[in-house]
Amino acid sequence: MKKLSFVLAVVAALTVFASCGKKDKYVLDEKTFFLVMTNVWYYPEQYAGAEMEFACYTYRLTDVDGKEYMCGVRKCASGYGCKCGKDTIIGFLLEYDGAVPEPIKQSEDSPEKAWIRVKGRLKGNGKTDIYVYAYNGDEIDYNTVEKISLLTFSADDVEKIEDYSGLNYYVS
Amino acid sequence: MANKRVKEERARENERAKRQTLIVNARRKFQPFALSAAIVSLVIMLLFFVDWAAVYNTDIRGNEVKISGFNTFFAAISGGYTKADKIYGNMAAPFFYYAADWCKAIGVLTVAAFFVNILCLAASLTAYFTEYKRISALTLGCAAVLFALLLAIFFIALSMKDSRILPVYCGGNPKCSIRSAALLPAVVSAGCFALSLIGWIKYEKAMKKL
Repeated sequence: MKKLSFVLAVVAALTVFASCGKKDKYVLDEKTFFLVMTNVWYYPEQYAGAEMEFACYTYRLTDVDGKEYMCGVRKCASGYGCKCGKDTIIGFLLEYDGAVPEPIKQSEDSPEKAWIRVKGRLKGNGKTDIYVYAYNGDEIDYNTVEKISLLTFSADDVEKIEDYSGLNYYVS
Repeated sequence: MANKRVKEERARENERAKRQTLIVNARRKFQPFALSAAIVSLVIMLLFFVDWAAVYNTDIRGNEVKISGFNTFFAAISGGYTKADKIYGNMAAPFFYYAADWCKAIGVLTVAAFFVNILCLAASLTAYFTEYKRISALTLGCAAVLFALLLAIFFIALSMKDSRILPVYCGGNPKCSIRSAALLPAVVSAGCFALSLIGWIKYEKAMKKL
C-alpha cells in the first residue's frame, strides 16, 4: 500500500510539474525571445489577452506597392533546413499611439539599431501578409517577391533602449 | 526404536538443510540478474533524454530542432503540445504544428513506456530485495512490452518524414531529414528483457532440483 501511494504521489507530482496554466504575462529575455516569439507566431490564440513585454528594434517594411509598415523585430534565419545565409525577421507589426524611434541600419549586420522595450498585448490572431521584394544581403532583387506574415501588437508603452549591449539583434 | 526415530529426524533435517541450500543457491544465481535488470531500467529512464525525433540538417551536421523522450512525456501528460516552455523542447513548433497526429501517437506510447519502465524497475527491485522472486516474471513481461513500445516510438518518429515537417517546415530541402534516437532505449530494453529471461531460467532450473 505504501509503495502504491508512493507511485501515485510521483505521478501526481509529475503531472503538477508539467501542467503549466495559462500565463497572463510574458516578459521575454534573451533566452526566451526566439522560442516564445516562434510559438506566438504558430499559436497566437494561446496568447490572446496576455500582457507581453520584450526588447526589439524598429524595422520599416515596404511592400511591393510602396506601403510602409512599422515593426518591432529581431533578425533570424529564414525558415529552416539549410536556407543558410538567407535571413528574415521575427516580431510584430507595431500599433502605438505615440512616437516610435525611426529605424537605424535596420538591414545591416550590426547591433546598432533603434532598440525599444515594448509593453502591450497581441491584437487578435490574424496575420497580415506583406509582399516584399527579396533582399539578397547586398541589394534588392526586384524579380523575386517574398511573403512575410506578421501578427499585430498593440503597444501600451514604447521605451527607447540606450544601452543595448546585452541584446542580440540576431536570434535563434 | 528410539534410535530409529532419531535417525529419521536427522534424515528429515538433512533433507530440509539440503533443500534450503538449493533455494539459497537458486536465489544467489538469480540475484545479479534482478539487480542488473533494475540498473538497466534506470538507464532506460535516463535515455528518455535522447531525441525521440529531430530534424537533422547536413549543413550544420546536427539537429535543427528536436524533442526528447521527456519533452514528449511532459507534453503528453499535461496536454502542453502547443506550449513554448523549455520543458517541451521544440514540441509546439515545428513538431506538433506540422505533425500533430504523429506527436499524439508518440506521446501516448511514451507515457505508456515511462510507466511500464517504472513497473519494470519496481518488479526488479522487489525480486532483488524480497523473497518473492517469481515477481521477476513481471519484469520479463514489462521489458517485452517496453521494447515493443520504444520500437513503435522509433518507427513512428521516423515516419514523420511523411508529415508536413520536411515539405513545409524545411521547404522540402533534401539536406534535411528526420532522425530518431529512440532505437537506443529500445535496444537497451531488449537487454533488460534478456537479463530478466536468463535470471528467470536460472532460477527456475535451480528450483526444479527441489
